[in-house]
Amino acid sequence: MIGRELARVSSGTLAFVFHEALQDPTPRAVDIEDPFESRAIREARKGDPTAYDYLVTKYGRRALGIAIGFVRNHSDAEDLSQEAFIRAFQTLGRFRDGQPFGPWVYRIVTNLAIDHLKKSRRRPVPAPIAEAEVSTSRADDADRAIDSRQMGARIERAIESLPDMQQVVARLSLIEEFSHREIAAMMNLAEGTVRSHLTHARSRLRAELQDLRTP
Amino acid sequence: MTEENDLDELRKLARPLRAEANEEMLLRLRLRVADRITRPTVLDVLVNWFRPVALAVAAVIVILTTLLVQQDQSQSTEMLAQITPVSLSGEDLYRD
Repeated sequence: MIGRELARVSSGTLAFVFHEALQDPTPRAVDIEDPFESRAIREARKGDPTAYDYLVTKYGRRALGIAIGFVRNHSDAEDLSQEAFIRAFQTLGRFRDGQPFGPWVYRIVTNLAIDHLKKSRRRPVPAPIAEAEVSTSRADDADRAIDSRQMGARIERAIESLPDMQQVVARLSLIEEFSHREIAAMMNLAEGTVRSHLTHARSRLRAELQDLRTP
Repeated sequence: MTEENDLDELRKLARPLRAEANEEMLLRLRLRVADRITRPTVLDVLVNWFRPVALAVAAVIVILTTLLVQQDQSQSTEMLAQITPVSLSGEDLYRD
């Protein structure tokens, strides 16, 4: 239905259409085709700046989040996200119609972040950690009381100690909470391979973080 | 504990590490991308610089070619006008 409505909309009102689409609070899963997105990709190929802006607005926040998660630096994360969108737009011609744009740009930003970390050879400094919304029950337990900042730093260190690919998959699955399927699409891996990396990562993390876990 | 439960527990532990970009960051990203998209590339700059130069060179070549052709044509006309018929021993010869 939305598709039919879209077909009636003239190109002169594209800015309005994309703006309205962004107001839609319904979250869209990665595998559901978004007619606005398909149209935005087509218009972006023709160089329409409104279409580019629609895609950046829709996926920018998450792309920035992924980049910050890897590099732990807001300025670098903004640079990497910008570069990821530019690269995605420059290669729109290779993008298959009907595919969601999100996993593609997330994949680019993830790869750029990994390259950035390799080049800078800096250990990422853990960012300020948000108030733990998770450990309320554990915090009540005097024996297991642990400051969320310390806990975050420990988890960060544990994830950093993993081999490269396990680290990337663990970050995307455990911190960013992407599904196996989404990670497979982003990293160009088979779902089974993602599962395997995650199983190995889980074993190591389980050993590392044994004292933080519920008995 | 199943693997999925185990992963869920790890996700809960790791949740505070999840970074959220704020509105300001998103706005900055939108502006920066828009700026890069609309900014001319080095190739665009070169093409824009080269286009008028190429047009000027092409115009000069056309003018020079036209002048040379005209000059050549007028020389040919003059030469034809200078041909004088000569008769020798009853045969018609021609001399410039």
